[in-house]
Amino acid sequence: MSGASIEIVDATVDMQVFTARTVSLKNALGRALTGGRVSQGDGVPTVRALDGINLTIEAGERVALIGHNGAGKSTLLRLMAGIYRPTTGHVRVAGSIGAMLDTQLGMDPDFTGRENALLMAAALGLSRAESRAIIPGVIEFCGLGTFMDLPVRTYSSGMLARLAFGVHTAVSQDVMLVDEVIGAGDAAFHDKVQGRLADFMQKAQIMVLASHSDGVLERYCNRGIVMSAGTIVQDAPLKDALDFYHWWIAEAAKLAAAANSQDESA
Amino acid sequence: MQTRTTSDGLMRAKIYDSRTHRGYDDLRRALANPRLIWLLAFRDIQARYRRSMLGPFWITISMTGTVLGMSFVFSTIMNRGYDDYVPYLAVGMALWAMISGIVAEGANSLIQAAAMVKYTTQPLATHMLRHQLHQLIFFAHNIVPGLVLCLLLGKTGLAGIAASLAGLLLTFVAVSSLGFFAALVSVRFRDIPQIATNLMQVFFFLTPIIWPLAAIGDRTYVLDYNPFYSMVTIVREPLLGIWPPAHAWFIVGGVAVLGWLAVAVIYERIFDRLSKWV
Repeated sequence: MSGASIEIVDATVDMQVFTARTVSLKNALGRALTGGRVSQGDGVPTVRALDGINLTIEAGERVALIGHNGAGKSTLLRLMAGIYRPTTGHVRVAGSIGAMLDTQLGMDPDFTGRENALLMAAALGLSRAESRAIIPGVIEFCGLGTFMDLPVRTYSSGMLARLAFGVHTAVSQDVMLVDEVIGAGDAAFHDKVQGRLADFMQKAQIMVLASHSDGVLERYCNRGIVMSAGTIVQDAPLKDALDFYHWWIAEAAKLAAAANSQDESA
Repeated sequence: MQTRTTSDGLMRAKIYDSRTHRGYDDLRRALANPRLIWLLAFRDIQARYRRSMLGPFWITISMTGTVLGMSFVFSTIMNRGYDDYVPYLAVGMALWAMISGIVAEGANSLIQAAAMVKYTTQPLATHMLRHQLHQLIFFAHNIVPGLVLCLLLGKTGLAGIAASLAGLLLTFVAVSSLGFFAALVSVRFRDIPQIATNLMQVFFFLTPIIWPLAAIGDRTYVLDYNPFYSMVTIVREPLLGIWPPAHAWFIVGGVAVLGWLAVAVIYERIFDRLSKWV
């Protein structure tokens, strides 16, 4: 199909933070019974994980999400994937969605790589025969060899990433959302990934990739979105976005240093 | 190998819109991939009996042991012949294991799937349905001793088995709605799984499983307001050569309809918050 797109309009994502206190029924009942009078102080604390996101991504774009930990990159990916739902505003994605947000991806550590690969394939909607058919390619791609028939708890994080990546790139999707997963491989893996990714990309119309590695982002992306504290602070061609991000970090560091020295002199 | 020739148009939801796609859409997507539900349920059983020689047949063996032990004690206490009591107990225990498993353990089904809920685009309902199917597979192993006994003792025939199967199907649908409901509420209120476990324990004693129907005397109100009694009746009685009363069918059917209606309303309503609560 043509014309995959992602459209996010005025989206905010609020996360309620539950503790044992707020999660339990006893407290909810208690609050209900006391009419919220006594318990003013113990409403559920809420964190605004994303705030006022407006974003349109068209077919052909390879978008990098840039920002430090906690800036909202992963939350934005989950919002696009439909895992988190916007508290206000809306999200609309045209096209089939593939998400690699974690290297585990529901794998069971006690089952072998092959068994987990077959399960992931089923999760992607492949039939039994189709699942079997992709396995040789996955083995070849991830270079796991005989490890394929060992429980995945014996795998390193890089090996897990390869397996997940191998299965997910065997099935083409219109929109591909990737979080850090690619960063977990070694150099040889990256060369291989690039071959397969180039292949895969011709079918995927949109890719959104969150990573802390400039090298990885430069390799795969053409548009950069810089995030901070749950908002988009810059949206530009990748090079400009990265430049902005580094300038911005340097400025922030300078400010912090200035504040520090002021503290010391005072 | 990058072909994507799957025939399931449903799996590839071409449009996702947060304004319209909620619980119903999730349930539809889950049901569109029954193979995944089956594989996950099967894996749950497999995981438990990994590296054991007899594998899931341990379920059958342990049920046989439980029933034999209990029969020895209770047929004496209840003053009943083995011929009647042992099959009665064997079928009832297997059935109760399924019913309480679906409700009480089912309350944890979404909580336990937290990793998949947070990191994959798989529909959430898959995890509830997977757990229910898991319990049904479990039941298929548990019912073996009871079924064999009923057949050996000539208590039932083909008609009885057919009626019992129909009853099982209806009971499964009805009790699954309760399990689904419990799973949804439990994500927000983490005391519910404990409450569900205790509640099912109480119902175990309020339902004629280990005690015969006659023992209740004229205090039948215990049964009148216990939907689990009707569920047990429509599955067990046909296997023992007794035709269950029609109203038992209506009660279980009513639970199924009302239960799933309640689930539908709540699922659609709280769907937006579920993945954040997990």
